[in-house]
Amino acid sequence: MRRIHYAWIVAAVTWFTLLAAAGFRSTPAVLIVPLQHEFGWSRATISIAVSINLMLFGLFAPFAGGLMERFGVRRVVVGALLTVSAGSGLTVFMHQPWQLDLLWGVVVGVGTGSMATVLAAIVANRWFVQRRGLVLGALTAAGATGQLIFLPALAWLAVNMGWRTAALVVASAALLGIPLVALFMRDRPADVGLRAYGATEADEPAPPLRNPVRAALGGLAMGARNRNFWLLAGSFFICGASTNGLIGTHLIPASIDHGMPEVTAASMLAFIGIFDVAGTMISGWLTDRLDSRWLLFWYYGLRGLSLLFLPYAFGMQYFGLFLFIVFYGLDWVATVPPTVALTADTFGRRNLGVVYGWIFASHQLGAAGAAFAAGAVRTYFGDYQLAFMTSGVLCLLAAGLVIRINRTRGQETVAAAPLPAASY
Amino acid sequence: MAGTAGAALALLPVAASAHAQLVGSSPAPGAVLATLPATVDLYFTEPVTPAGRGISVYGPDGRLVSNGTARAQGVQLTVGLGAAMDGTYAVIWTVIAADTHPSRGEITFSVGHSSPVRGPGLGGGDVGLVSPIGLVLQSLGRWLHFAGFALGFGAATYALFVAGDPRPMRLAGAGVALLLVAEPLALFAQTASFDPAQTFDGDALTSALASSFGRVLGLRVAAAILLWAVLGALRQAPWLRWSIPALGGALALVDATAAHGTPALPQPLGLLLNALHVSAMGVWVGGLAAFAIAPSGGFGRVAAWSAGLLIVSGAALALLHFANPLQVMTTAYGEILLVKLPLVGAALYLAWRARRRWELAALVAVLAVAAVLVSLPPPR
Ligand code: HEM
Repeated sequence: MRRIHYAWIVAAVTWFTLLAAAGFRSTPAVLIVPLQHEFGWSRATISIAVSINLMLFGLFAPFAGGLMERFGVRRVVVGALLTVSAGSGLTVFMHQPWQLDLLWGVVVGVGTGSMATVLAAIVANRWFVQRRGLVLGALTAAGATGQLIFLPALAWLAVNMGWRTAALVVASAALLGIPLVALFMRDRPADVGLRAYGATEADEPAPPLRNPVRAALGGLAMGARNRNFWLLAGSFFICGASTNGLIGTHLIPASIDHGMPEVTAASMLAFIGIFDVAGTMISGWLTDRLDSRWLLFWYYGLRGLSLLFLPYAFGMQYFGLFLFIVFYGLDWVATVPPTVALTADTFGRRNLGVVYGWIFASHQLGAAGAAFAAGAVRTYFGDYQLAFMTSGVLCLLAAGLVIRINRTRGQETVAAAPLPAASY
Repeated sequence: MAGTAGAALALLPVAASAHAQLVGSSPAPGAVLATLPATVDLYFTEPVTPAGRGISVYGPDGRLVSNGTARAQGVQLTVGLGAAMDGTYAVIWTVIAADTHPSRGEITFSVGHSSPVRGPGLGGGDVGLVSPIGLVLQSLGRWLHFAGFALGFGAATYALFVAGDPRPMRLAGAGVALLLVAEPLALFAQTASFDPAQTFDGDALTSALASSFGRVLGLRVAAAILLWAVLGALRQAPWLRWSIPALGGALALVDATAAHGTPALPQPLGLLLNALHVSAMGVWVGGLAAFAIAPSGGFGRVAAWSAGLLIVSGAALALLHFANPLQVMTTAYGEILLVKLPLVGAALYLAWRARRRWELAALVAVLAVAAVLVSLPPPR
């Protein structure tokens, strides 16, 4: 019997880490109301912490990519878990809004940001040559689904045992993760005397040794000169805006506005999370086989159409919403594997971590912006229609962006253009 | 993409009709009452949604005395009244009909005795139940929209299916741009129709966007963006070219929901008739513009067929919108139609003489007139 390739163990550890990190990240969402009750802080005040958290979750990613190149994946992840644990645990003692901003916003944001999808991208690319798309899909699904599936349990804890218990549970979960990572995580296949899964001699990447901040900024500079970078970052901005920012934050209140009980509304998000696992796994599998631009084109196109359909779905009661959940859930983060694959194709696997870090930062900027904007729209318009329709239109725009990405580097060109080069 | 048209059909509002007009009210216009009633009730020709407050009642001292936003119940719109004072009250109503068209109007009634009307008033000179500037902006927005539709979908369809020549494809890009200019203009037209002073007012704009009008506007912008996405995708996937006429048909259906309903026909038939008229327009006008860039012998037949379809569907629409022939002379809608017909005739003549540039010019003029036509309330 052949021994299982160590890459799979690393992938499994990473999977749990990402799931947990995502859960930690989304915790503040269920604390909003309890904190409001205890301290009398306004929603706007508390939302600032959530916004900081969402932003840093993304903005810190490129630097985390640089840090991992420099200090190794294992050390960075252990450090991040410690940071999250400290940030979450210390909230028990807070009594001022700025402490909330600092702890849940900055500390937890940086901690979880260091374990975000950059980690997934780095692990998948260092450890896998074959099955890379599939692994990336699984890791990404963990990161996205983790933001949804823990919410009911955390909310239950916060309501029945107090928000401090919820915060302490998060802190201890992060601490528990440390031995797991320390024991099983390895930085590179070479550390355990292996090649990446399915790799041959020619695939071996040279280990880069660079200053993390310089590396991150260098990645930005390298990206900014490339048209594909802007197309990817632009479409990913829209991706973040239309998922985490809009639906993740506002679907529940919107459903309540339309007369749905809160529990039903919350389980809708959970269902989206479940369909998302399926969708992202399938997407990873497809990414190994098909042109990533086309995958993205269809994902964004369908997501856009389902968002445009949403205002009508509310009028059709449960059937309409069910349709929405299926279509929308299936490509909640299905966009990630093809986006990573395109980034790797354009910039090479060596630079993937830092460049993708910036693209992901754009994702989180979109998310933070949309979370805030949709809330403002709701306050001002008394209805989410405009927010849903705008993001639907934006997704269609993203479909148009991704299809205009140029293919580079050793990929076979698909069906040659039937028409002579024209200006459309 | 093929499902787009079907999806669009499923999304159509239930009862599209024409601009809502006031048919009755309590208190009646001009009535003199002993005491102020608790509410003002207005009755319309069709179900309405309030725009902004829906009903604003101004007391004899010029102060707003109605409470909040009016409640709509089918064809009835109701608002509660606050203060009581003798004198003349002005009731201003602003509503959106099922077909997203705006309309507004004013009536007065008195308590005890009449007095000079003090509220802000509508300023008079309303054409077709909206402010004059609103009507102009609406027409302009529709004109650009029709031109964008023709270039975006018609020219691309010609390039891909008739000429097999990619050169006119850049017209499609221009069409997308026109559509994206037209839609914001339509939004401002909507707010200006209710009150020109509030054209850029945040509350007015938000209320317009949150209405059925906002939905249609969203779908229109979405269609334009989707067209742009497909234009990019075509280079690698020639089979996707079918989605361009399909998407054009879907947008024509969306447009049909925002054109005048035809109460005499079952709703889906009316929509199809309207969508057919718009699609044929796109094929002829857009094809003609593309023909100027890349002539192809096949165009003559296509143009003849679309012209034929336009005449038949146009005639049917015209019949459906008039209750009796006299109305052609007595209504603004009829007069504008009378301007449209000779222009159509001129276009047909120029087409026959193969004077392509002049034919195109005549058609652009027809589009302008059609844009005004759809902005006016039809007699039926
Ligand atoms: C005998 C010829 C025609 C007749 C009798 C006719 C009649 C009409 C009528 C009655 C409407 C109004 C529909 C409504 O109120 O909603 C209309 C709309 C329209 N017509 Fe025509 N038409 C004719 C030819 C044309 C031609 C040649 C064009 C352009 C090339 C054209 C373009 C349009 C457009 C763009 C609309 C607006 C439709 C909408 O917004 O959905 N028509 N036509």
